[in-house]
Amino acid sequence: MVRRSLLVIPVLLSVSVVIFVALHLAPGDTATVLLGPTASTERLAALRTELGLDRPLPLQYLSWLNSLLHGQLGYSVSYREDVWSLVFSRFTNTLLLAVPAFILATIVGVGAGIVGGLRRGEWVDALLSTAAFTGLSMPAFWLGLLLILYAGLELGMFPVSGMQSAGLTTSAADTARHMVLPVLTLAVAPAAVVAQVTRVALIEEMGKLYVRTARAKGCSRRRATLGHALRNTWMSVGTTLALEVTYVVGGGVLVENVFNWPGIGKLLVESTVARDYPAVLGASLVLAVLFVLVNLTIDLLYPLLDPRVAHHG
Amino acid sequence: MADPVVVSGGVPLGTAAGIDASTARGKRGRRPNNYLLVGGTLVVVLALLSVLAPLLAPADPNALGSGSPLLPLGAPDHLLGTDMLGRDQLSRLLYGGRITLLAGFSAAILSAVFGVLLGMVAGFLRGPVDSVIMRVLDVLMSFPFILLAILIVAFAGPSVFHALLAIAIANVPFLARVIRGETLRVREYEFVVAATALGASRTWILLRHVLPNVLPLVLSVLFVNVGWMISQTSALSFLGLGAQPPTADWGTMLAEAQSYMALNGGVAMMPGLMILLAVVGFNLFGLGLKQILLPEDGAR
Repeated sequence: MVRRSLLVIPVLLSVSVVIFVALHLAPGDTATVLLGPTASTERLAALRTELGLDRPLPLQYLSWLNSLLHGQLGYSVSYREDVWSLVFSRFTNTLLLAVPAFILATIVGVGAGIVGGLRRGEWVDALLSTAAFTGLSMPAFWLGLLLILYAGLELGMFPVSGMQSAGLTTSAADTARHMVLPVLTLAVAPAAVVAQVTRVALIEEMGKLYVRTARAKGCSRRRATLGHALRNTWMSVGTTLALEVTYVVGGGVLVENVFNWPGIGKLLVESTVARDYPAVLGASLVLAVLFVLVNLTIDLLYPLLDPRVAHHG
Repeated sequence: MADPVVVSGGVPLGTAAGIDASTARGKRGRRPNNYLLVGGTLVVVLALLSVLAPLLAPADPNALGSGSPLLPLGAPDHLLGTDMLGRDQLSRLLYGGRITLLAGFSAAILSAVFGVLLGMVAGFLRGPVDSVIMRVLDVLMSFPFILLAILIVAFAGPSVFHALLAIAIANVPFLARVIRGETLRVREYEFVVAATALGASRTWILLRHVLPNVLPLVLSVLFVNVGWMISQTSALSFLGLGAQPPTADWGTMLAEAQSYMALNGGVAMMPGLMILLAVVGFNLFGLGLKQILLPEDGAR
């Protein structure tokens, strides 16, 4: 367990190096973006010196890493804000979408998977499986646009952009209304994955001998399923949770951009276009760290879901 | 995202379209493979529409004002309406398909070539080579794929080619893992041991004995992946990191559509439908292929 936790450190370090190198190799640096194409060579050079852009890359990386460890991510030139506070506020907004979507997807997915597994081959199963297949194939950005068009614009049920209505003071209820469509969009693909995995795992467990034994001993079908087989499917469902995180984080970038939601994903795309290195680095780092840590947590939770794992290390 | 194990989770697409592994057993060869049929039809139709775009398109896809702006679906001369700039949407959709499908296909091929190569080498040589390759791939996998893709595009600048390259690289680890596992299995077979005993070189064994045995798996995963990569390259285009205006691809068309969809919803939604059809088509085709090429796998 300690070993698994320590493995995270080299991974995070490599992640930071990759992000750092990739962006600094990119054509067009921050100074050019800030001053525009007409700036004189002297002014560019002066600004580069001021921002430390003229130093060798390894040195720039080390100073960035050093300030990172001191809780400083640098200063975003395009947002004119400290990157740490920028990333932090955006991160909260991202969680506001990601956490409800994750919970919703898990509940709906597991539920649909159980129903499909129990009613295998019946029309309910066919319907749910087709829905899951379509949901998984549906590009998140198109689904978002469809919801905006039909549920947002035509029916006018929910606001379609941003976190708050303009001109109003911040209210939780207003934000909640803004959350509905993006959360729904974000939840569809992971719910479909969870449903498929749960269904297959349940069907597999139901075919095993211990379930037949339980049934032979007079255990009801419901009890054999929910009490015996289902508990053994947690393992594969647990594995899927990690996959679900991928969908929520990846889909989040798209969904935030579709719904103009001021989260990390939107920050990432905006700052990439603006070549705002500190902001891109901060946003990527937060996304990657979140991703790595959640996966670590899920790995560490396996033994709780299935005690057999502990024996295999 | 393109984890083939989950993608092909043995889901029958409705009782009419799906083959239940248990009932299909023993009847193979007589019963048509519906996945392959439905998926193949979709793929062929989409491919034909794209290839024949110059013949089918009623107008130049980039000609401004070939009709009045924002004509609705079914308008005379403009079957699928026009966009904000009066460009014929049917023509843009047909020409856009060429870019989107080609980008998805190329990305899938690229990532398959590198994934198979790395996976086979890692699984066959094992030891330190295996460790190095797999650790590097682990790092790649520790990025959410879209983050990796955005970083690569940020590095290289936005274009269709860079977008498909980014998607290809981001997906290499998934296939490499699957192929590595398969290679670990194949290398223990007696014909491999026999070949080694006869003095065959490693390269020869890899190409002549291992590759043919992992190829069926590669092919079925490849087609499923084409679907995902069409979706992913479109996503990058949608974010403005892929095809650049005025070039039409389905992702950029949707991005442009966001600005006028309140005025002309039906027209705005068509490119998304095409992406969905392409993803579904290639997925079904890949699953069908898997049932034929790897019949013993059943629900895998």
